[in-house]
Amino acid sequence: MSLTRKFFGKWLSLVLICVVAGCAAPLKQAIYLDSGFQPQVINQIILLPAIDARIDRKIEVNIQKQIREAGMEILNNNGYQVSLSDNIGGVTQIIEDDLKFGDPKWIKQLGPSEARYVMVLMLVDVATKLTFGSTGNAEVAGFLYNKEAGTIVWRDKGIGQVGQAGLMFMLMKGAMAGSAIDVAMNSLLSSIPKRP
Amino acid sequence: MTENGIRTIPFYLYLAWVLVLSSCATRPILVATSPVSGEVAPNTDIIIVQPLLKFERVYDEAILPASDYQGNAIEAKMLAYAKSVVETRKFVIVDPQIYHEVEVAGLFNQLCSMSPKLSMGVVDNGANILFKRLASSNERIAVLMQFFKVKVGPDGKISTFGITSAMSSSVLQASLISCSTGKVLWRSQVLTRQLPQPESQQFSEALELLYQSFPRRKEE
Repeated sequence: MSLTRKFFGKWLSLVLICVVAGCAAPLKQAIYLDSGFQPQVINQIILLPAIDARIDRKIEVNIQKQIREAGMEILNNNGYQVSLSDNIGGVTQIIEDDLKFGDPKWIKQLGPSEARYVMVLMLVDVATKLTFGSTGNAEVAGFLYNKEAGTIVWRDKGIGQVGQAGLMFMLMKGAMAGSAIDVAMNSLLSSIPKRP
Repeated sequence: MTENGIRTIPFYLYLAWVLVLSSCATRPILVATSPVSGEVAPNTDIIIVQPLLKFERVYDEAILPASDYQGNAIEAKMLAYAKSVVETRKFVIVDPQIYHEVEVAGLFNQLCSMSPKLSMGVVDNGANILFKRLASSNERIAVLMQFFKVKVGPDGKISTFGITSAMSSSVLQASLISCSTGKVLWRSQVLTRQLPQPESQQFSEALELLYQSFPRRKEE
């Protein structure tokens, strides 16, 4: 009896492990990830103020809390040490095109002079809608630079689509924006390899 | 009225409410940011630069072919609308063909590729160099830049786990820039939360809103 139990116990564990491994979310592929990216060499990420790049700003969002601080928490959970800095360095303004195609000179000027890895998170859009219930959509973007080398290390986008049907959820339209941003932020930062 | 009949009233009311809301949901939301409007000299001549259209997938920025979204019809409509606005505001339109030199003609292609920044009113050194070359033959020249960016997103879904709304959107941006000074004389942008249909009323409304604040030529 105990032998049978042992045998089935082992197989049951194995099956369970396989099921759990199958459920584990695969690493999302980033829009750009430097081929030589090594999470273990990143001792610290300096997170600059998050940017509100929305055209439609009707929905009130606490950008620094919902984007920057949320980003810091996710990165911490992924093993990165993150420090916040409000010093954007020698650049006069930060616009999406500069972030995307930033030339080495521009990157080297971004953020505090002593920083090595600098990250900028951006809220691109957030919208809610009242339909058969309430829905929310959010789009965020992130950029990680190696300031010393003047190169972009990682760049990606995250989107969040949330919603619930029903009369009760029609009253919860306001909460949908926050939920959509949370989903988008998690999706965005899931493409950065975890630091061992 | 039977008891059953009374019970069904709230259901029908809910259904009617849902239908009203879902019809509202299909209408586009137009958002125009405050247009920047500087002084436009009455003798300003305007060159309408070919609009730049960009269609990309929202989640990975993969470029999609404009032909899948009636890109040519959209471009033609944008050009025609811009031309009619400039004419009705009494400015003189200069045909870029007058710059017959090959070198200067190529300049417009370069300007067109700079549309994403220029239509937002961001004039960098590279653009200023091109503007100076245009202004060297006519210092009253201003360029009208147009950029249309479409983000194609996932559709909305209804499932047992909930509902989601479609995520596509498009942004129309335009600016008028003086070539001699590099100064932004006017700019505007409009967001529409849907894919563009060039023949639709919504697209016409978006263009109308974009150019609503375009300056009118003052009498000399």
